[in-house]
This record gives sequence, structure tokens and C-alpha cells, in this order.
Amino acid sequence: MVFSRALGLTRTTMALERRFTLAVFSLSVLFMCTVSSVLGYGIRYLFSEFLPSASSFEKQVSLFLAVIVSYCLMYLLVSKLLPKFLPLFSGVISYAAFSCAVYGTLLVSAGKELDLLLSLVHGVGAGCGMVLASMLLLCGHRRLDLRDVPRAFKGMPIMLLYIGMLSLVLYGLVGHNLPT
Amino acid sequence: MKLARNRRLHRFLGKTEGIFGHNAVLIGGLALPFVIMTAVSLKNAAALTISMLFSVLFGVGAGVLTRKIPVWLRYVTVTVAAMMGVTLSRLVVQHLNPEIFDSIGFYLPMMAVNSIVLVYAVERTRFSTPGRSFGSALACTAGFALTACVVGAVRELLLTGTLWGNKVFNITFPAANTVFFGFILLGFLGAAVQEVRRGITLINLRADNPTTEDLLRQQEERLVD
Amino acid sequence: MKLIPRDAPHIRHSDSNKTMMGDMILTLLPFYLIGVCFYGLRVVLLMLLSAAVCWLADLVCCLVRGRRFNVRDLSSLVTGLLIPLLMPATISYGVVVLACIFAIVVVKHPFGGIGENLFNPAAGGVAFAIACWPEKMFAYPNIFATIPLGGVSGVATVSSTAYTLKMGGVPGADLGDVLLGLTPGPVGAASILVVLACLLYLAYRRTVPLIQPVCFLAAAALMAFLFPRADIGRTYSVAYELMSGSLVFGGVFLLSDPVTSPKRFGARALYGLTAGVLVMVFRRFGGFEQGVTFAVLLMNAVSEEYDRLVQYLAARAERERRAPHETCEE
Repeated sequence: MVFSRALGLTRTTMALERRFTLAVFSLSVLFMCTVSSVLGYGIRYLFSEFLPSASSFEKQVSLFLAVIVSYCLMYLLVSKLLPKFLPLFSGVISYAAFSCAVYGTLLVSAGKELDLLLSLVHGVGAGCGMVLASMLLLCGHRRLDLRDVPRAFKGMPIMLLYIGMLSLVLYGLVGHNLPT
Repeated sequence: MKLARNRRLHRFLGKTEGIFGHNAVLIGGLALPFVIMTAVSLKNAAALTISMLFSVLFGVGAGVLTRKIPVWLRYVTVTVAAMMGVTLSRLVVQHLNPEIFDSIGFYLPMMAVNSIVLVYAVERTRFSTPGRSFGSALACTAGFALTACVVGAVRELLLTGTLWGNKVFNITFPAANTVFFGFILLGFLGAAVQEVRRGITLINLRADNPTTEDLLRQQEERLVD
Repeated sequence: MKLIPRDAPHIRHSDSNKTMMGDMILTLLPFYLIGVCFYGLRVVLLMLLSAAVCWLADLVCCLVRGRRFNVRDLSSLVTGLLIPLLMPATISYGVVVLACIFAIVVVKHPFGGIGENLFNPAAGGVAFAIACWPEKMFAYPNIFATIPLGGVSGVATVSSTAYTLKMGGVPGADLGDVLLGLTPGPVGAASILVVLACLLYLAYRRTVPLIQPVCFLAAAALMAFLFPRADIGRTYSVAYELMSGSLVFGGVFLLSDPVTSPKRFGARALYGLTAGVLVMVFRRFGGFEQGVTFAVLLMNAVSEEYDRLVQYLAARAERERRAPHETCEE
């Protein structure tokens, strides 16, 4: 998601300062992708049964409901199971839930018209991909901090170049252009 | 040390924060997916700007109206309002080019969860007046528009040799619509912006404050005279 | 007593950037000689153009950064010599120029320049060329074909053994021909025996650690043995997979870049093994017939983590080794 479609990039780079924040962020995305993929399939099923003539934009907008429900569920779970950590996690959870990675995963699986099992697998896969991408970005961030990067490139520009190189690598694996 | 010019510059940058001061996309890293993936032509960039404007206005409006409710719930209200804005913007964007939805794809509804809306509608509205919230959000949108248009124009020129559909030259570079090209282009643009800003600061400093070598030279000239 | 002022450091290792890069240049020149025999003088033109563009780009970048340009730094020349060797002899000059500029201006200098780059510049430049012009990068002329110095539109091109394997077909080329480089392929990557001879020389000179390419080739061979792509028997699969494309060349010259490789012995071994597996994954599932440049770039991104892992394991082993002795002393 991060390197081939640039989804979830902003929030991941914002969370790079602390490893713990990044871990919570990527795990939240994994949870959200998994739960919302199931809910998203349910919404698509309802549309196919009761509103088959709805346009693709209307379906895409309705899928947002899955994100909201998953977010409320995650917030409820954290407030019940880990109430001490809620003040620390609430910002990160909200960022993770309302990131392009989660909604984008739903839209991609809707576009491919995946069934329930495949949607779930796709969601879990996207979440795991997000975790791996976060780890790669953390490695890069740590190394770039120690390098003699030119003044003009310090900060976001060099991070974008680093992500661009990783995106080039993934292009070698995937080998196609913009997937919209 | 005379710093009047630099202070004026920093005041100007402060007023234009999000556009030139701390560009939302290039330096802040906000709304990156839209610029990298869908800003492949000037028309796409214009469509993205319109959608961004609608989603930001609606989102910040919802953020201002719901300042009293818990923060975690505000994310829901803001994004729902932003989605309403995006749906409205679709009607305006259709007039630009009906085929634009094929190239933007599912990035249009994703405007509702873009980071500019969430940062400015949820976080900034907690501590600022409504006027300031709208002002900074609109400045951020202008920064996004500027970046998207520059990236879109460059990529359209490289991809098809056209600008807004009008042929400019014949050389084409098909890899301009790839993701890695978008990242690298944004990285270099960001570096250019940072370097230009540093250069202007330095020029202002040197204009008001002569260096040690200049002072020594002036002293020698006075002695010679 | 006569005192001679000299700059620090006063005790220097016999190896330096100049000697290491000099060894690399020495080992790359035979490939160009073979290329001239196979494809004519166009190969030399490509070499000179590529080296000149890389050197100029390095100079311009140093000036823009406000750094002093070190004339004795041969790293840009090495990059310039490596890039055309991974391309067909009929590649257009424009592609080579752009690949060189990408290698120096995007991959090398923004990340810090010589000794600080995260990614191998030559691998980055070639990967960029593959991503932008795949049809030009994988169209090879026949051996001993007459290739003009200028435009090459009239030259017939064919696909390589690597492409046949990618499509799941049985390679028609004789194994002996593949070993001797008498089959269409990249300029430098075809002569496997020469590559292995260069590896031995570089290992003897301690420019390249032998463990890394050996582990890389072993892992790639194991993957080819366990998961053959064509119906030709496992042993033949290993032979064809190792000798087709730029796998061996990439393992010797790209993967063992001292700047981007791990520093510890165990880390290098692990690094080589993982890279071998990754290359075969890229070859099987990737979008292009050549995966070595992309695999090298991905491994460069995580090379320091191998050092970190080995250091952690070594420290833990040391603590466990000391723990019983400390208990006895108490």
C-alpha cells in the first residue's frame, strides 16, 4: 500500500519519531484493515442485493461506514481492555483509522469485487504490508539521521527520495503503472 | 546585527504558512498520495484542488461546530462532513472533464480522509479561533494546489508533451506517471523550496550585515584614501 | 633532524578508496574487451560516454553542494563502467546518459555522497532504466552481429535465456555456450568464467569479501534446485539460472559494494543468503526478466539491520558465556 499506491504515507512518516508510536500505529492499521474488510464486504453484499443500480461512487462513499464502525469498535476495545493507555493511544488510533491505507484497502477490494474470504485475506495482507513498510521506513529514518545529507534535502525531501527508491524496487516486483 | 529584512521575510512566511512558509505537501508531508498518484496532468491537479477545497471547507466547518464533543468523536463528524464536501465537489469537477474520474479513480472519495482535513479540522480547531482555523486550512489548501499543479504540469509535459491538453513539444517520457517518479520529483521540489528559502534568508542577511572580509576591505579603502 | 609536515592520519591502512576503486576498474576492463570482440567498438563508446557523464555529474553535484571535488575519487568512474555492462550493446546513448545521471544525482549525492550512500548507484541507475525502458533494456543483439556506432534501429535483436526461463520455456542455448558467454545477453554479464576470475582476484586483494558472493550464489542455486522454473531437471535448472542474465555479475560487483554492505562477517553471510533468495523471488514473481538490480537495492535498504542483528546475537552469546564464570566467582 505504501510503496505502490502511496497510501498511509503521511501518517506513517509522522509516527516515525518514536518506535513505540509507529508500532501502535501499524498494528492499529492492521486491526482496522481486517475488521473493515469484513464490514465492507457486508455493505457491498447489501448493495448488490437491494441497490444493484447504485453508481460506483455511491458504493465507495457507503464503504466509509465500515471505517467508522471499525474505528468505534477499536476505540471501545481499547477503552475497555487498556483504559490506562487510552490517553496515549487515542491520537494514534484515530490517525490510523482515518488514514488512506484503511479506506484505500476497502476501495481496492471493492474495485476487484472480492468475496468475503478474499476480502479478509486482502485486508490482513494490506495490514501486514503496512507493518513491514513501517519497519522499512523506520530503518531508513534511523540511517538517514546519521548520514551527511545535504542541507536542502534534510527532513521530508530525503525521506521522499528514500521511499521513491523503495517504490522503484517494488515496481520491479509489480511492474505496472498507477493502479487507480 | 541587522535583521529587519529577515524579520519581514519571516512575518511574510508566517502569514503564508502552508503555501511558501512551510508548504503543506513538500515540507509538511500532508496529502501525499493525491499528489503522487493522481496529479499526472494539470486537469487532474485542478480537479484535486477543487475536491480538496470542498472537503477542507466542510471538514473545518464541522470541526468548528463540534468543538465541544470528545475528540475521538470529532474525527467521525469531520470526516463525514468532508465526505459530503467531496460528493458536492464531484458535480463541479464533472464540468472540467467528464473522463477525469477514470484517471483519479478511488482517490476522489479518499479526499474525505486526507491528512490536511484531519490535522486542520480536528487538531487546530481545538486551540484556534474559527477565523484562524479556516485561514490556515485554506492556506494549506493553496499550498497543496500549488504543489499539485506544478507536479501535474511537469508530469503532463513529460508524459504526453502537452499542457492542459495543448501540445507543447514532442518528447515523451512514459515513466513520468509511475509512483517512484512522483516521489523523486516531490523530493527534489521540496529540496528546491528549502534551498530557495535558505538562499533568500542568506541574501537578506548579507545585504544588511557585511561580512568580516567586506569590513576589512572597507577599512583598507579608507586607509588608502 | 628534519621535520616534514604531513596531514593526519599519520598511520594509514594500505587500502584506500583509490586502491579499491582501482581494483574494481581493473576487473571491469576485461568485460569491455570481450564486449568489443562480440559487439564491436560501440561498447567502448558506451563505456567512455557513461564514465564521462558519471564523472561530470559527480563534479557538478560536488560544486552545487559546496564541497571540494576529490580528483582521486574513482567511485563515479566505477559506476560509469558498471552501468553499460548491465545493458545490451544496442542500448541508445540517451538511456545510458539518463541512467548515469539518475545514479549520481538521485541515488548517490542526496544521500550523502561517497561513503554515505544508502543504495548502490549503479544498481539504482540500471533499475531506473529497466523501469523506464524495459523493451530497450531486454532486447539483445546476436553475438558477433555488426552494430553501427550511431543509430541501431536496423540491428536485429533477440531475447535472452533469462527471458525464456521467465516464460517457463526450455532454453535452447547450449550450456557450454552460456558458460562462455556466447549467447545474447547484457554486455558484461554473459562471460561467467571471467566474472568468477574477477571475483577471485578481488577477494585476493580484499576489495570484496568472498563470503558474500559465495553465500549469494549458494542461496540462488538452492532456490533454483528446489523450485525449477522450466521442465529441464533440477541440475540443469541450477546451471541455467545461475548463468543466465546478470545474476553472477550482480552478486560480485553490485552486491559487494563496501559502502552498502554489512561490516561483520556473520552479517555478510546472512546478507548474501537473503539476497540470493530475494533475487530468485524477483525472477519468478517480478515484472521483468532481470531481478538482481532490484534485489540489490532492497538488500541495501536493510543492510545495517543485519549488522545490528549479528551484534545483538554476539553480545548475548558473550553475556551467556560470562554468566557462569561470574556466578562461580561470587
